[in-house]
Amino acid sequence: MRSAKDIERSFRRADLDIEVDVKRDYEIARDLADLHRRSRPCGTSALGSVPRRMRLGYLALAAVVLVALVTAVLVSRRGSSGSRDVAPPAAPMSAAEMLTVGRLKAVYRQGGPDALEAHCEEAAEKVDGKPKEVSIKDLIVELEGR
Amino acid sequence: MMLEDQLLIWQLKGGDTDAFCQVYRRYRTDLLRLAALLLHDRVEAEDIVHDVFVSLAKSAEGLTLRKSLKGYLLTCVANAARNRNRASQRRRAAGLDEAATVPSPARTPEQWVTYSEQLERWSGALAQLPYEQREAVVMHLRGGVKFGQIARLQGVSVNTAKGRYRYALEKLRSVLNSELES
Repeated sequence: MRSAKDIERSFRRADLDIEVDVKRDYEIARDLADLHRRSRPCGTSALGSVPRRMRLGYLALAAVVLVALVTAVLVSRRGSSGSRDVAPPAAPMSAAEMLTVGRLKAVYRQGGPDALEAHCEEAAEKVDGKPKEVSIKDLIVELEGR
Repeated sequence: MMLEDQLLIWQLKGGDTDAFCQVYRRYRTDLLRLAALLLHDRVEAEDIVHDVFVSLAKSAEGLTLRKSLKGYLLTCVANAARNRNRASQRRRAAGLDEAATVPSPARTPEQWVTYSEQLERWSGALAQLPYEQREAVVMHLRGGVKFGQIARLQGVSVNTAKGRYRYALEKLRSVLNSELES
């Protein structure tokens, strides 16, 4: 006669073997694996397993990080180019540029006849000579007339 | 949870068919054994195990586990076996299924499983127990499931689950001893 303890022990240790038909088993495994592959929605990646709400959270976080990065880059660029706020030294003008009507008018308005004379002399020095045919007085009359 | 299980689940979620085959080959015999012991019906047992793997194939992407993959699959088989048992009981009560009282034929062309003599013997002895008692003893001794989880599965208290287990052992003892005497 066996006790309940014996029954417990022998059931726990019983060699309850199962043999499977290898060919049929292979077919079943293949069919199930095909079903698994087909059941997966197209175009999903490992991220597809993340719930929709979490995916939106990830996207929002990515957007915030991107904006922060762009802002940081812009700020650092502005900081490094702070000295550019000071106007760069004007490139030296040629005599022809100095003697355009617009330039002469501007010089005359800013500095009057003396400035205009100095400007013309400076232009004349660039072409290695002084204007002989037009005096400053004539030039002023001409500029005021326009 | 075992690291290996976690890796397999991650691969399953990623649609890895090799991982699915690995899970199938690793656990199919354990699940078949449990189903055979619970139902004492080859065809039903094989159907249930197949259904559990079909369900896994369809829902692997959304699978979240707090325990081992084997424990999860064993629970699935136990739930499916309980549902089948209830359905067949209802059919029998309604007199609709005379065939349900007769075990399935020993072998049909669709079957791909051969059970050992010991498995047949234990399965036959267990079939004489009420289903809940059978479930308690099989899940505890062969599935390694604790009484707390068996109680949750059956929707009863832990003490009731333990009581069912003790009654099952007593009944098994009397069945097996009478077999030895005869």
